[in-house]
Amino acid sequence: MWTTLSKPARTAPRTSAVIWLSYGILAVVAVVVVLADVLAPHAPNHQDLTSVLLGPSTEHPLGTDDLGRDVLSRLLHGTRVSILAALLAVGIALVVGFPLGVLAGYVGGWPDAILMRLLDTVMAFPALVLAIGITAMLGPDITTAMVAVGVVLTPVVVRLTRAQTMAVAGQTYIEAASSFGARGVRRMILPHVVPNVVQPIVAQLAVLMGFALIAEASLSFLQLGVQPPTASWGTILARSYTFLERAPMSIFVPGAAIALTVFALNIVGEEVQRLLDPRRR
Amino acid sequence: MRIASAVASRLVWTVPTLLLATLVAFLLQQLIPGDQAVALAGEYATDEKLAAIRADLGLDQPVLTRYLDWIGGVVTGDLGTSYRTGQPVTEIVLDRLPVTLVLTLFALLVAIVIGIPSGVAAAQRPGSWVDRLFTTAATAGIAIPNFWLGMMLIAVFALQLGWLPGPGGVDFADDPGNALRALVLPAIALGMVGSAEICRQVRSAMIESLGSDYVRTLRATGLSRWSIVWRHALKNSSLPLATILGIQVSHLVGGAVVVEAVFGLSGIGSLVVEATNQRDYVVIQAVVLLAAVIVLVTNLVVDISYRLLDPRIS
Amino acid sequence: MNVLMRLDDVSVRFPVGRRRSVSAVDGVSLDIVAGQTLGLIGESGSGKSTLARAMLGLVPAAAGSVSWQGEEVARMSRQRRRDFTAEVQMVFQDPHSALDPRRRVHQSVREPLDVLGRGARAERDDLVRAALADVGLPAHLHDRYPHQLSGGQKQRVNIARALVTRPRMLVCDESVAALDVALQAEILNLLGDLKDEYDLTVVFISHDLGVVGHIADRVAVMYLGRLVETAAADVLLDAPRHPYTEALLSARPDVHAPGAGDRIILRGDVPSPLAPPSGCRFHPRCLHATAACATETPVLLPVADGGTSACLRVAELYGPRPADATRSGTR
Repeated sequence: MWTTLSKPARTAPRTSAVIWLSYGILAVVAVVVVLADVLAPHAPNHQDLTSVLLGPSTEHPLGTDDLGRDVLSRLLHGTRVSILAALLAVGIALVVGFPLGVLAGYVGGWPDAILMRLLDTVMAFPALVLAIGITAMLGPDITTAMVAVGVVLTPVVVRLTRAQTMAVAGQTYIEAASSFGARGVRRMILPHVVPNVVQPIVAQLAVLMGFALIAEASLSFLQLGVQPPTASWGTILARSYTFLERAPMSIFVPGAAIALTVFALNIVGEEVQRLLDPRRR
Repeated sequence: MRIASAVASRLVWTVPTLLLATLVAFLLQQLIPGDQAVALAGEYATDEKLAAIRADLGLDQPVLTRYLDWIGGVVTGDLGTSYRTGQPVTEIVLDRLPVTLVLTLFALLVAIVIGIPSGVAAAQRPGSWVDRLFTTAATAGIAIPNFWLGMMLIAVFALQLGWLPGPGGVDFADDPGNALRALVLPAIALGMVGSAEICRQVRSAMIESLGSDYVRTLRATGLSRWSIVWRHALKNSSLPLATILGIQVSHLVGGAVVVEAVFGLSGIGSLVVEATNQRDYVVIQAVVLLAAVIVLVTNLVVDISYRLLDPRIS
Repeated sequence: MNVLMRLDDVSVRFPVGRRRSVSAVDGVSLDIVAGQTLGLIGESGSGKSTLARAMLGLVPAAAGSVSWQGEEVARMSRQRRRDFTAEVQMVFQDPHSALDPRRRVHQSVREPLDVLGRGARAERDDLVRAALADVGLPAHLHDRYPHQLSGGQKQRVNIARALVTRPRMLVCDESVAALDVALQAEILNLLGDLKDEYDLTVVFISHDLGVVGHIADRVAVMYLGRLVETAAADVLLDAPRHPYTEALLSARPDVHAPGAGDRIILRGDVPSPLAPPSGCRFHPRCLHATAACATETPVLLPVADGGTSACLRVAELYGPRPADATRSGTR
């Protein structure tokens, strides 16, 4: 009952426009991640103190910040940093959580009971607070921050995987496989359990990614994640916040980038889940 | 008798989790790289101070002994001493706690007041344009980082319109009225994500509830739609509602950390950020543990009260 | 008479809650004779599917033993156990869920060979094609996924998978129950043909006396985890020697026998195996029960015509019939 992520029991109806818009947003983000160097008109950390806090112009489409850095270039590079950081966190959660979830769901018994107890405990901590605690102890930088977010996400992955594994383990084809002697990781878990568990988890990855992005932004905003001068969505927001009174609109674009990306991830996650629903077949 | 057994059954679950949570919080300190005494005292600490810290924490002793020692202090309300300020940690934390609690409570109110009616409205006709509007808005609401929403609120309502105070909290003791006004924007910023989550979950619980035979029977008896929706169906979906509130408290306490930083409120959220910057590990540890305790205790209370109110659960 | 598999006083228990357990199978002794088709019949919850799983070693026997050609299965060496696995195969009830949805037909059928590590890859593929041809699945379907096949086709795939190791014994657990009637006959005929072709011994589990009577040589009747009667199929259908079998027979819709007036209706539901009735487990629903039936546990004793019955009043109710010369059992 302790989840950091909530998934709706019934997926919401969506107009196809919203869904296509979401695919579009994610495509743009993907392109930016790959081609940030090419797309950015300026170096992200290049300061020009003669042109600080400029408004939009042809040379600086989104203006400049208080150190005269090109906001668009910082945003493009920041997108790459933020997305890669979130991928790292989700990757950690997946690499640790998926095998544990399969193990707990398939083996059951006391290993399952102990593991679930431990995860309940980890989930009792508010996700962001625990992530801050871990980051603070390890020394704040982007890697430790994302490791911390990965740790916080792991119980979610374990629970999802475990539930799915338990459903699969009760299927007749598992019993059929054991009737001709299939057992162990190579003959049972890898060929029969994992392929049938993996798909529903994939749909959840989008949602986990959204959570990791917001966590990155939050931690970087608190100076606990990406460290200045490196640009990320969180550090850009933190910086713009310091000159909010002089340039109020400068907080809009980076925040909107986060919100739109997470929105698109959630919509696409729901859509994938709907497409994978066996009842649809 | 029922009260006793309900409390007991939940305590059996909560107490071991609470104990394990203290272990997790304690083990956090084991993550500190290098010499813990140096890390705790700072690089320029004198040898005497380092020796004092080592003796105080028993760093030469096994981890288990230190844990037992530490937990002994925790249960008696002694969370240790800050090596930065020399103040007892319990004192520091208790000083900051009220702001966070009030903020979280306000945010919870915002989340409920917006979330439940919109969830109920969306559930009336699944698939209708109202439903689409609300569910899309809810998905957007979940996607908006609370600290960014806070900045936007400040930009519009504090800087542009000047309706409400901006960042920089007011001390409660000095000016309670303004202190409360200063909490309005943070509470909205913090509660909005929660309202979106509540909206989605209330919607699915209500669709379930409205589609049940029980509600169909009520409809057949000619009860008004209003009464069916608000008095019967919502009540029937209140089990998920209680669960949702339990989860929300956890989310809100976590979110409070960032929102407090945005609004310059001196709660335990900004405390943990300050402590991180000053490497005041004992304080960090205390706040992390306290956050878990708040979540576990509210969930315990929600659960027990729910068990007492609902005759179906025994 | 060559006994292929012998069940000796086999019991299977499942844990229920913390300290309790339920006996799904309780003290069953049964010989499975080479070349025969044994029908195992009972209502749902009678333990027949659990008994089938105990035969394959899929569930451990809490007491008693399962022997294969005189060797106790539980004590087999690893190598012998692999041979045993190849020699005894099972066809499950629901043809759809018995196939992994993410594997193609030929992959599923090849899997037992892969697991047993038999032969080279090319040989395995040949064996798979041969087995699929034997069950009558056209070659163009071999690359399909289960959800692209019909129910009958899926059950053919399941049978092919069970036959690909060239087993000596095939256990069919309600293998036609999930199919509609026309398909049932088709699959039953296929099983009959394959039995001859592959020289199989078949254990056919069903709740449907009509189906069992059609294909079985001998029939064993189970009730709440215990055997209550065994007999040659035609003898059992003609002259049952246990009140429960009698009731089952009578419940069968029979268009040929107009005497539906004296149909025996079973009273009540099958009692919970968690708390089985004392004495004869059938006594609360039995028309002929006496006070003794509630206290004394009947054992399976030989009756005429080579059958056995576990009824305290068997002699009284059915009489010791003289041997029937026209019997056509396959003993």
